[in-house]
Amino acid sequence: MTTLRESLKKRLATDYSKAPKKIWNQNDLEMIWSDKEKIYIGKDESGAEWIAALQHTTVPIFSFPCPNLARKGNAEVECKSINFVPITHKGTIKCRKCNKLFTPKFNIEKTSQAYEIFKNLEK
Amino acid sequence: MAIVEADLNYRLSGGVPNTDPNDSIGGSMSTAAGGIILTNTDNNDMNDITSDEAAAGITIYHGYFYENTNVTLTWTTPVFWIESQTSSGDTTVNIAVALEAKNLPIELLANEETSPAGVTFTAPANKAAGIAIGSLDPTENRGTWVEYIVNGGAVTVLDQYTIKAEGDTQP
Repeated sequence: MTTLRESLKKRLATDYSKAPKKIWNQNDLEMIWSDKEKIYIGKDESGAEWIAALQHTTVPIFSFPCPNLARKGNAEVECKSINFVPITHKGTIKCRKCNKLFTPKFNIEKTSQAYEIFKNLEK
Repeated sequence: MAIVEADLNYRLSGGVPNTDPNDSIGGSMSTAAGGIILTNTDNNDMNDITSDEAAAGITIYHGYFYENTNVTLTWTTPVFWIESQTSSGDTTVNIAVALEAKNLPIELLANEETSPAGVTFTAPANKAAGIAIGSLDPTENRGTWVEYIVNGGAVTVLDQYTIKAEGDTQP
């Protein structure tokens, strides 16, 4: 029997495979789909990096800042780089910037349509 | 005729006449002409972060309202989410719906560094993870919160993020 988690993972994998290769943000900045990272990335003229999760899916995705310590300039501070994590994820992930592992803890607003899915996944 | 984007406003809080995003710290929805947040406009949500604030880090809370100005149609089951996270690597944005019911003022914060009581902030990254605003009948509104976190030692950049809302409409 397929579990809800497996079913959502399969759906997300299908949606990832059909992801539009380019999207444009509100500034008309071109953002390219990264098959490796499963996110959209675009750099504006100031060098700032814009990232976005897959929008064309019914599987909820949340962003989590990395809590690991990392060197920044001459100080060690929290990395806080944004990582996108689908609701189906369980366990640790590797931060896309500092490459250290952390465990995202879903804290989903009860009015979110994702809350019911989350509750069912936790059963 | 269906609800179109022009029927929907994202308005400041801070009182009926408020037009200053920095004073958008809860209370009543601004109904002033200049109290609408315009997409893709610098400082439409807050003033620049000072170098002292960037060095020490700061967390800012602002309240905004979604308003359906259509006089006949309901904006049905809208949700909002963070379509693009902050473009600075040193900041993060989180969102929440206000605890107060629709058409009511939201909690008035003592200042923009005070968090609203009992509100849970999250970072939904797509529509499927979006937070429900609740259907808005003609001319109704609902308060929301944005938490903007600047990490200590943040470098100076033009920082931007995108919050998107989407719902259904009758034809």
